[in-house]
Amino acid sequence: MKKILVLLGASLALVACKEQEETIRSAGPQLPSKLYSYVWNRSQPTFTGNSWLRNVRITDEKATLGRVLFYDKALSVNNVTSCGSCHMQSKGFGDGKALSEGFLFNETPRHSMHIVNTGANSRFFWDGRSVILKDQVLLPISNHIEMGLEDENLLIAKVDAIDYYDDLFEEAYGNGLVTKERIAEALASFVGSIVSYNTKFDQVERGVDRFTALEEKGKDLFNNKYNCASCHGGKNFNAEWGETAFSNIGLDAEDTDEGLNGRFKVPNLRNVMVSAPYMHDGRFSTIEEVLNHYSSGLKQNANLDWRLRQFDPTGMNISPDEKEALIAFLHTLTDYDLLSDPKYSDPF
Amino acid sequence: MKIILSSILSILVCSFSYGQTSNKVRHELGVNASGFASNYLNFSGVVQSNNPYSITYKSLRSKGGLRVGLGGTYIKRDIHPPNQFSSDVVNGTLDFRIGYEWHNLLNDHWSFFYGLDGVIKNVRSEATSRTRLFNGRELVDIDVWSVARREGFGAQAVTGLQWNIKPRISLNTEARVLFVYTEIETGTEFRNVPQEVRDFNPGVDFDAKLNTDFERTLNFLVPLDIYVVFKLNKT
Ligand code: HEC
Ligand code: HEC
Repeated sequence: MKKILVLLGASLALVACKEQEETIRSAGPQLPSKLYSYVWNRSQPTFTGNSWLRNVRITDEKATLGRVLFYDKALSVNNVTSCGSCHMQSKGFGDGKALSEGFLFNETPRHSMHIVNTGANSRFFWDGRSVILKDQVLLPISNHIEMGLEDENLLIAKVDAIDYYDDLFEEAYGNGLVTKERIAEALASFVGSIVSYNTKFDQVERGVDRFTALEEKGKDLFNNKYNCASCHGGKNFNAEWGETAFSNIGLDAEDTDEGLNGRFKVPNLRNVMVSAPYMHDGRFSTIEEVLNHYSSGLKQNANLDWRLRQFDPTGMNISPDEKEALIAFLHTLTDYDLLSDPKYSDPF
Repeated sequence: MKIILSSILSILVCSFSYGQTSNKVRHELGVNASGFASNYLNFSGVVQSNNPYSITYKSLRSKGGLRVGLGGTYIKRDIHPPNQFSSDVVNGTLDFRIGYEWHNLLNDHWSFFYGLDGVIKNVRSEATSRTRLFNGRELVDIDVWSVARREGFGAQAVTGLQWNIKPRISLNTEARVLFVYTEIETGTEFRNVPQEVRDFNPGVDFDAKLNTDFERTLNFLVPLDIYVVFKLNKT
């Protein structure tokens, strides 16, 4: 009897513990001898020059510096996370998790947003609490869950002590001086350069490709019958300006997260098919669940947007065929060039 | 806190004294098979595991008995970027429950059980990082230690269903209402910072920063996990 118990105890202890070891090592930042081009081509169709642009003039040198900063784990207090940990190129610069893990594995209160065409944003974050990209990019660094480097002087001292930044600051600004403003501007230049304009949708607009019948049907449902475009409008499938860029889509009857007065930012739907899970709390892990919500899951929240009040109280009653068509259309918004372009990749 | 500890104690006392009345003891060992099962079954979109106990043990008499569960994870990461700003990260969780359960046979193959547990739920992430800073002449290594620790105590009420496939093998799953009181400690501490580095970086605040916080949570957990139960002796 005792033997059994001892054996039991031992096997319990062994089996109950899952151990995992992982070593992350890499060579220095691998940068091309001729800089990649990050400067926008004004003819790229997806921009509306917004407020933050007044503060940032993207140059290839600044964006190159920004790219290294974006992927450098030294920007967190314990060298564990970089912006790239939660904004991964292969996932449309989202991170594939409902909630992200910060520098000490604590969860962020909201789902990581997939970054794309920030030039078409009037405000940043799910609740729009940041208005200027150059200010926004420093917030994750000092955030106590995300990167934990609360002391900006320590940030400067750390970056200053890393040898490869000497040349990068020199090239971007003419001398090697490290300042908070330069870090912010470089990061904003890189983030602002993450532009999508070569999806199938764009190619069809430009007349060089054609939608399939199913995609065409999906587009029609999106723009007309279900009028998704009344919120996810324009070439960025978001709502660009002011308060109307935020809305409540009846996820819950009572809000668990205040957002911006009970509303959340209408997310850009470019690359949406690679950036699951969805919504500000990452509650839906598939696009089908999102459509089921719009179709029959609406809750009568006091702030529910008027554009959704025109349907049945529970939703739009989207048929299975229509769901298929909508999904086919959403697939045309994936920008494979952006997801694989080496100029946005992790240089380490 | 006191209430929780005393309730754990009373559950234990109750379980042992109850145990005296019958002499046939059945030992059951359960293994959480959800991870294994999810390789073959795909419940799309459903969180596939919410029961942290990898292994459970029950010592049951005719009406009920003692139940114990244990689970944990341990991840060690060794981050060495090229810039000498390294970090050794350890992330561990420990989940333990002990309690008493009653069970009823519904028919030859199915039984139903319910019970109460005392619960310990700990999470700990710690990083020992090396950062280099100037002292005016050269780069000096300083150690930055950061921690996030969650120590939770609580209690849960469970109810479950067991399918007795073979005399020695069963499957079961349980739903729980779990209350946990957690003490959360987070912080950063700079170690061995030479005076020269402090002098050269007067703006940097090298004081240790540690915060303590408390959290109370009440969760209803649906029965998502499947345990394969081995009966160690015949009854
Ligand atoms: C620990 C994960 C994490 C890290 C690290 C992180 N982010 Fe984020 N990011 C998020 C989350 C979560 C949100 C949404 C937060 C919210 O709305 O409250 C977000 C939102 C954003 C947005 C807003 C996008 C929009 O459309 O409004 C930008 C831009 C951004 N992050 C850039 C960065 C930059 C630059 C860095 C590095 C300095 C960074 N992030 C580091 C998780 C992270
Ligand atoms: C009333 C405005 C409105 C309408 C109409 C609307 N949406 Fe949305 N959509 C939003 C908002 C706001 C969110 C984010 C909500 C949140 O996280 O709280 C969102 C989120 C989404 C997401 C998740 C994106 C992500 O990155 O998490 C998808 C996909 C989506 N909508 C597709 C659609 C489709 C398809 C339709 C039409 C059937 C539609 N939406 C109609 C406002 C709207």
